[in-house]
Amino acid sequence: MKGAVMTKKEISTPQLYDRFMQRVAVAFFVLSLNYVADIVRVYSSEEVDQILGYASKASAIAVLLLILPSFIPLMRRRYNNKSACREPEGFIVEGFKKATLKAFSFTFLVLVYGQMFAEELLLEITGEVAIHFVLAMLLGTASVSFFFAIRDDSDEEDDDFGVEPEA
Amino acid sequence: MSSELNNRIRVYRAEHRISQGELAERIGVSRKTISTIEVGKFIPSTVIALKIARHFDVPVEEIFSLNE
Repeated sequence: MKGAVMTKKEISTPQLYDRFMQRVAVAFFVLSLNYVADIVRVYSSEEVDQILGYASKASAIAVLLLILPSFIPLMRRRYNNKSACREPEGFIVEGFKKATLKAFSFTFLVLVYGQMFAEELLLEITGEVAIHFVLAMLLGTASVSFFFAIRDDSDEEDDDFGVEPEA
Repeated sequence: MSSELNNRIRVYRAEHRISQGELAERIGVSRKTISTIEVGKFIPSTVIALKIARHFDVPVEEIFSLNE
């Protein structure tokens, strides 16, 4: 491609950062399911508990395998050139900030509502279940909000004005 | 949303014959950021707007304008 700054194989740092953020959001969703599974395990039979335990371990490994391939190159670039990782106001980063803000607001409202109207239920559940519930809600809401925020129906392939027409 | 902010990035890209990816690369953002600015889905920060204007060597008002 004429005028291309990078080769096809080499991905730019902002692109890498976007990819990392999207993978973090997927990891958030998987972790939220893990916390839900942990809550279910408290109230389920031993057999179900064991199955969910294996599933949790497997998903934790999957999260690591998902995150590390983009995290390691990003950290390597950051180490080599600290300014290379700065994209403080990109579309994906902005979407992530909005999503985390929504997740916090939603979780806060649910907790306030729970404190006001579900006091008896809160007295029955253990601290562990309550914490897992809050974490599941925070991570789940953040990931869903993120993918909702960055969905882009109008996104299309690059129009590639840089390519010269063939003679 | 960004319906009040018009931009002429696509026009300038066509004039300078550069793709979204190339422009993104040159100003240090992702292609998705450029494509969402172009379609008005994402309102860029002042820094990104100034970088785009500087890249095309025009005042920022030449590229970004508000609807009347």
